[in-house]
Amino acid sequence: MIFYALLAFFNGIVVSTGRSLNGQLSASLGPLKTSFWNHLVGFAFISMILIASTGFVMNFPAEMPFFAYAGGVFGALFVVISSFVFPRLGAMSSAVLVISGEMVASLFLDSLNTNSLPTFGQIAGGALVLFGMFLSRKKR
Amino acid sequence: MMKPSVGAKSDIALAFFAGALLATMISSNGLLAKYTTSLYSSWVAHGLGTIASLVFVFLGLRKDGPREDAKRPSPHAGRTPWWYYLGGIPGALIVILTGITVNSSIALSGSISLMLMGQIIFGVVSDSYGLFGTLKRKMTSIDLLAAGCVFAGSLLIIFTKSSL
Repeated sequence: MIFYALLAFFNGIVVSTGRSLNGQLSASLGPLKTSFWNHLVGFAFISMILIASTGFVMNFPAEMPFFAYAGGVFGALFVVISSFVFPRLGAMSSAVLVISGEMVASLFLDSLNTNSLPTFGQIAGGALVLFGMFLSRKKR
Repeated sequence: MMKPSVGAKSDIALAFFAGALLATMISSNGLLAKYTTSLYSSWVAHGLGTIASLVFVFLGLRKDGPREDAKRPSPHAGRTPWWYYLGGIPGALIVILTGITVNSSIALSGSISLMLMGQIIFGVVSDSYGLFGTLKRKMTSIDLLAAGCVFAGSLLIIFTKSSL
């Protein structure tokens, strides 16, 4: 478990790095074009890895829920919504609200997957995470 | 400060929804990774996302026109450094890694809370060295408290989940 925890923590650093780069690009191109380039470069990058490693031969289950393929569209949609809303709310409020939505939704989605409600400990944990994020934003 | 503009409450709801959308996105990419591989999931997400974002670019251009770009004068006198375009590489890595972690014992909520902690720590470290053009800012006790809260919250989320 510690391995996965470290992986997720490292991923947070990757998120910050990607956000910095995209933020810089967005200053020149705007968020919609930046989103396009972000997706295209990522797609090209992985294509190269896939070609180099497996040669694109994969055996996958034929039946897959539609939801599994929706991630790319959700991501592009997020950029559209946030580019509209962020200037209206300001960076601080936007960040707090987005992170709150993320945290609440993730507990809800996990409970759907496990067929059990979030425990009191998890809800308290979520509140603690939100409080910590609020603190970290406030001082900036 | 919030501008007293029309629909401010709907803005708040939209921002919150955007966050929920992010969690949903990670979840759906994770589902694809579970059925296939993490690498394939990131590939599909970026491929379909390229098409979707291209559609949004054209829709946006029709609505905003050059107004959107005019609000953002380039700080590089028109020449954007080529390495700004590399943001897609960490982006690809993010989806690969979440594909692994959301399907592990820390699940979606554990992944997100620990990723948030990584972001805080990175922010504190990069500020203290003045990386990425930010002003140098030494770490304060509030920074430690914030990181501590997120870490404690992550532990609670991961370890108090109801057993199956």
